[in-house]
Amino acid sequence: MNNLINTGMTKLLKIMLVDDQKMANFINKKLIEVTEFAEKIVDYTLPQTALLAIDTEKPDLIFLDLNMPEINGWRFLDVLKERNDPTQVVIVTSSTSSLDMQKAQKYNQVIDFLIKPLSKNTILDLKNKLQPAC
Amino acid sequence: MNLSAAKYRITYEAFSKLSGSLSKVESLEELGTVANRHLKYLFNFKMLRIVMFLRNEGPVSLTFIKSKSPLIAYNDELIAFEKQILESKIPISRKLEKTDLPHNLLDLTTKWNKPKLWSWHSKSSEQEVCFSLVSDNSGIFDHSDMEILNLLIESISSRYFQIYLSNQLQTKNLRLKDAIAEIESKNKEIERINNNQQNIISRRTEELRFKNKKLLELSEIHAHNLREPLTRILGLLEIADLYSDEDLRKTIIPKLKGAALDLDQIFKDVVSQSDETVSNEQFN
Repeated sequence: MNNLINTGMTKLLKIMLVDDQKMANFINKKLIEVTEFAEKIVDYTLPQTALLAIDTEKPDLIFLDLNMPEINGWRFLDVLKERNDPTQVVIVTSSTSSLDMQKAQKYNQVIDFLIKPLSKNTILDLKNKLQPAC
Repeated sequence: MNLSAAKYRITYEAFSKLSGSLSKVESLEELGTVANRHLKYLFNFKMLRIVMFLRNEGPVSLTFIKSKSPLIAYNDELIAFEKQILESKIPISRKLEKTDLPHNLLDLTTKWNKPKLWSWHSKSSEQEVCFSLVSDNSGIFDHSDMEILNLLIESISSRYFQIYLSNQLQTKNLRLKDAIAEIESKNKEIERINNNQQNIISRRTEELRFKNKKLLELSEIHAHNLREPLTRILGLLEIADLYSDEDLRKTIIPKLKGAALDLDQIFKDVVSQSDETVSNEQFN
């Protein structure tokens, strides 16, 4: 089910951050940099702009917030599904609601559900999960 | 044809006319008037008084005075000899005393010539009748008149019994109608109460639905909005040690302050929304 895991993750990742809070992107970017989880990071506070940029940026992984105005995380996932875009998604949310967690399991391309705030350890755990050989 | 046979025939013709008329009367008053018109053709009398007892009703009396209108009294007071005959059941035949007349007719005796009182009693399953007759020397009542008198009393009392039953039936029908109307009005009342209850229930349900929605909204605010600025503060603290003191002061502290202010604002919003929900409840 997981391409990144199956391919053994030989190349370095490109990650897209989608969160309407600029500060959240700032923090997560810093954590990704310091843990050397990805080589390239692009960040968006407007989900609609992010959706337009996916084709050109071709990210390996998207960090997706749920609670956003206009296009929320669920709508974002639905658009990917409609486009048959298989890009894998990690949900990064401040919600601790178990309903949200259950709902996320219905999307095949969601590989993880992380609750903010992220820490170096959560990123490292995710990195290990995706790159078991390292 | 001898005299007595002729008298007999005339009397029976008079009686059959009377009983034909009696079958048409519909009230005791009418019965009195019709009987009064025919009585003089049946036998000699000065006064004929019939007291009828029906079931639990009080005594009803019909008093016929020759050449006068009949007197009708409901719950009439019994005369002494009537009480006596009701008790002893023995017929009376004697000289008329003054006390044998109803109070309002006492002066009649002065006009009569040696009046004589006759009184009888009869009882059937439905009613009891006491009937009395006064005659005087100007027109003698005798035993040969008994047969026709008995027939007359039977006709009058049975007709009165029929009138009484039909009145009872009418009264019961009226009561029944009243009861049905009462039931109908109660049914309407019940229906109205039910509808009212239904309205109250649906209104309460609507209120509850609205409050539940408000609560869900509040819980969503807790899940997302309330935690969001807090996660920024915690996140900034998480990366704080990656910065020099100066960068910390220039970059991270202002961001912390911004996130803390956002958090404060959201707390205020939550409190005011809760207030709103509570005060809505109080005014509803």
